[in-house]
Amino acid sequence: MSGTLIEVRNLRRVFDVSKPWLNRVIEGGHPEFLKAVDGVSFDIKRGETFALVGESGSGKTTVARMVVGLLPPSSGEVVIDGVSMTDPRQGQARRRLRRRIQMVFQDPYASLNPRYRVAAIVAEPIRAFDLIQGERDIKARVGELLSLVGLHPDDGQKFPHEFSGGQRQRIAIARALASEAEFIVCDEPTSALDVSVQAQILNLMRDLQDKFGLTYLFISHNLAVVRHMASRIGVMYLGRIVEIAEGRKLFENPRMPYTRMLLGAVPDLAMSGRQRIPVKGEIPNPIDPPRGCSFNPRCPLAFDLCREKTPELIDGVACHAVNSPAAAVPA
Amino acid sequence: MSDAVVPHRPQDHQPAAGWFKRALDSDIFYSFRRSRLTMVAAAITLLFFLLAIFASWLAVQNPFDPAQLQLINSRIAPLWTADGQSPFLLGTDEQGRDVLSAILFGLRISLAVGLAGVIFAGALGIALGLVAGYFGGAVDSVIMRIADVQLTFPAILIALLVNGVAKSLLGNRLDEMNTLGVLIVAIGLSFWVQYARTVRGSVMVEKNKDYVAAAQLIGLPAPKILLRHVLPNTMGPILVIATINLALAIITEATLSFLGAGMPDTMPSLGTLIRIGNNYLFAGEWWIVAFPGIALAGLILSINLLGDWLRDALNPKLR
Repeated sequence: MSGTLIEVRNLRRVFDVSKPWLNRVIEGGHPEFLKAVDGVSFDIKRGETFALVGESGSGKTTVARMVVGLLPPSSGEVVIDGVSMTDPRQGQARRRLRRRIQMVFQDPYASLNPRYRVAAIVAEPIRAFDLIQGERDIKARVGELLSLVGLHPDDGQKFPHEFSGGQRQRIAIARALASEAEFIVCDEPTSALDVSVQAQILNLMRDLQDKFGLTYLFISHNLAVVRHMASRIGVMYLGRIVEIAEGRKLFENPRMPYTRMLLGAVPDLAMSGRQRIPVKGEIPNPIDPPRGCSFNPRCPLAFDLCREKTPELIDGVACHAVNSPAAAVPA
Repeated sequence: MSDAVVPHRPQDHQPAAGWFKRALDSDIFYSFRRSRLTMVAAAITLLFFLLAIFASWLAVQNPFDPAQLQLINSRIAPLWTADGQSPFLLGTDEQGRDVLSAILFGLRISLAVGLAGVIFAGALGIALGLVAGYFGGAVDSVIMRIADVQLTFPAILIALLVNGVAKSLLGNRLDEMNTLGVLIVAIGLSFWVQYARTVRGSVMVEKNKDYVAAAQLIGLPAPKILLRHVLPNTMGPILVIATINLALAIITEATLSFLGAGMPDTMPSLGTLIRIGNNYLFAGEWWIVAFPGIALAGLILSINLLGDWLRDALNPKLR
């Protein structure tokens, strides 16, 4: 269980947020584009959990949707187990690959079709990929999956609205497992749940990972959750990855000022009394991002270079102050 | 699987109750039982449908069959007046047609045209709305601009137009059954916009929900996603529109027939009966127009009341 399963290369996604053509002609104004994701690259090894963290609007969910193929990237490439998700020549291989990729969504109230019984929801991937023939065998498999996520096999006869948020998320996980997926993208799977239920779902996901050797791409804004789950973490800011590190290393020794700010904002008893970098400012408008490093208006270490040149991701950090400290003379 | 698994909730795992029991238990049925007005309206609507279905058994004559009509029986007043004659309970018209029998058979035509028109309009509108809402872009623009243009004309005008075009195309070949078909198409084409707009709106909301993404993820083709996942979640408003449109379609048919553009005198619908009777109103033979008019008004009123209730019951926020 080693080797790279997912390779994400220089992924970009631009959304056209211009006013309608007629409005532009009459009222004036230019086409406007929103760079939701701007050159994101990372690898995920087989069996590990890679987490993407960042504020709202940093492009985490857009990355997740591009990785599973729900959203076509504007440029860049996603390669899963050697198969490109964008190369039209590999369509056949991609269709076979689709079974092995699944997603658990943020809002369990919207991710289950309210008109379907739970058994039909969980059985849908099995039928779509033609994994099991015969109604009785499908039913048995659905019952098995429901037990696996801590529900009763008879729960399949009910409708989603008869379940709580945590139980619905269990159903969503059962659906993801139904196609015998190896790679599951989890888009903030616990952010819509009560704190008391979050840990149950996270532990369930970890147990399933141990049991089936699953690989997770875990999207979250909750650092405590990420710390619990991830083996490696990428910190996103305004569509870019600004720092990538092993989970423990990131929490012990954050290097990028933004990461330090994020970690400083986590309520923590051990931190009481210690110096924190206060969170100041807000994430800038991605339609009109600041010149140079997009974090420079909020950065305590910003100097001239930061306002001119976008820093490259070198050795896991994209920060001029960290990568070329010699030039860092506070202006 | 240690602490991750919560114990099964203590509950009785009874097999799912039958759909009938669930229906009796539902919120909709509860609100139905709470409203006496709705129950009366439903009963009257049901009665009209039953009368139409069993018209052949209930009527004393077949008003569409000239052989059964006798001019000697023309213009007989209703049974309870001094000039009344058995078996003509509601009197007869100038051709010796029993008014009650004509109403029963006319009801059949009116309901058939109304139902078929609503189904035709619904199928057309739902299909176009699904496509427009799901795919968006140029397809959406074209469909919805056509809809916008059509909305600027009253439905009855569209129906008249379609009817006129069909009549000039078919000319002499336009017999009773063809007229029925033309009426259904005319009504369908004049009412589809409402369905299309409603479905499009719901689809645009539903298609961004994650259960659609989950279906896309397992590679279901778009038509399957639309029919299996999106459509069932847009049916609530459709049902309300269909009910209210049924009344509108029946009125439109009656109006067309009243204007002489609909069903001919030889196979009268309620609207045709009212037109025929209208000629005799000032001659004192009020029953020829009054009873078909009452039947039409009663039918429309009860269907509308049902539609209003359905709208409130399915969307409690509107109340």
